[in-house]
Amino acid sequence: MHEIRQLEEEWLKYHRKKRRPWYILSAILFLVLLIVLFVMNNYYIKEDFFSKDVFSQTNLSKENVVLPKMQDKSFALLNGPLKHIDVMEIVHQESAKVTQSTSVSSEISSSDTLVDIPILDDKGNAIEHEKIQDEKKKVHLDIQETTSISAYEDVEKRFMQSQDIDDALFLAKSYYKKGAYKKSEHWALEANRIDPNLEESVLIFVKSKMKQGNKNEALAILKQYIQKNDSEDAKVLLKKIQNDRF
Amino acid sequence: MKSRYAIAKNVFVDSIDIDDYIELNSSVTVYQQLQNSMEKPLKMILLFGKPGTGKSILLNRIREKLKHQKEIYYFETPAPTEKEFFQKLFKVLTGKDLPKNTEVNFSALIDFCKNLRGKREIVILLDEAQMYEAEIMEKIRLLSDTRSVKFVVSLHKTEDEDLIAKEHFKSRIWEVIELKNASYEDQTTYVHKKLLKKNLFEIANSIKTKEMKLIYKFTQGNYRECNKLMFTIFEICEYYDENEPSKIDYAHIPPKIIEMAALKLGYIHA
Repeated sequence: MHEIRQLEEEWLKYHRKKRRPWYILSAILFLVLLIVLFVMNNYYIKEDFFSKDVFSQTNLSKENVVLPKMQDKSFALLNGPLKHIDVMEIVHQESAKVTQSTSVSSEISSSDTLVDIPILDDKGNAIEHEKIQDEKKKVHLDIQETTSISAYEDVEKRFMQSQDIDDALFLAKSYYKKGAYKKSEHWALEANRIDPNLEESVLIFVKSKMKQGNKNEALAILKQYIQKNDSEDAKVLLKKIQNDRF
Repeated sequence: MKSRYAIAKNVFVDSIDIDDYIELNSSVTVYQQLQNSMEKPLKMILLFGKPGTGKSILLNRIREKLKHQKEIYYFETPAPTEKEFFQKLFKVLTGKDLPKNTEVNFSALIDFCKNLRGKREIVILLDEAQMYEAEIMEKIRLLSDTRSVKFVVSLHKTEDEDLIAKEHFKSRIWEVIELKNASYEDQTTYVHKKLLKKNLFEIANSIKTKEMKLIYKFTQGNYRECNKLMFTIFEICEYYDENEPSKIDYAHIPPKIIEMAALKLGYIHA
């Protein structure tokens, strides 16, 4: 049996040849699986995209477009503390719907920058300013503006439990924008109670006082704040009030 | 000490030795069929099948069994010439050698056979009959017509030879017996019985169903191919047993060895 080595080599070749179809089949199955996964992944991404895109592209009325769960603001607001809030503003113009987004950030420390809240008169500049600041901060949560009072009540309830400054500031800004100056004053005060150095809360408080006709009180508070913090934005606001341009 | 596989290997040396005959269900049936045919007043019996289906061993077996009851002769290989064939036949019929430098007169032989009718009943088993020329076959037919000599003609079944069998013997053969390859069960019994006949129980037991199916796949139930494959398998086993015992599993014959043997015999290719 002198050819045993040769036979062994031949057998190895034969064995590889015999298994080749299985290797090919396995490779094909693997590829098919990969393709299926890829296609499924793409499908879900597209589905997700269209489900978001429909809000901005459709001409349907707001009530028809927004899903039942989305109509209720409380659903979105009750999912944990807010770090960054985008307020979607939907304006009806004849049959077309125009959506404008404004951002409010509560993560910015008052000591770092001087920020005017977007509800001030110089609205355009404020939005621009905040957009620059938020470039590195991605949107965490989109909230569509709603007239539902229950949504604000839910945030208020949550604030009672969490004492989250972002919630207080959000309520202060939102109420101010809605013209509920008494409430915005209250929530600005709450925000200031949690963080006395948060300039936004002071400015909203002063503006709320002004809107309620308490100019002297507003000026006194603002001057006191400027003395303490030497804030440029506060000075600009003071100048506006003094010149009756507020 | 001689490897156990060396003994097993020799069990499968291809031979027509009657001692190697293994009784299987199918072979018993064919044997009885042939024996019954020989009892009938037939002139010629055609036994045909593919090479390795056991025609020769069957002829040997029947001769061995019936030699004390009948005047039966076995022509293993065809004579190279017509002259030699008839010299051989002359000796069988007359019991005498043909004198030197003489030839058999065929007409005289026919007359001789006619005279034997009713006195003797001679059976001649012609193996490998496909090698006889047509002229000899025609003379064989004429001899069988005397009804004192009965021929059992064994033929390989190939396409051409099948044609010979059909055309040449169509009107003359009274009985046709076809031998086929063994079924899986018969082949398993054949291999095991062969080994057990030599008391190789452990080796017989080491060929399990899986291995036997592989052997059957390669040999398709052909006894000659089975003998060749088994011989080669045990030849490889013998080598490993003597030189590289770690490569052999005594509990069962590894498929690798069966495939190596099949590669060597050309059943499969790398």
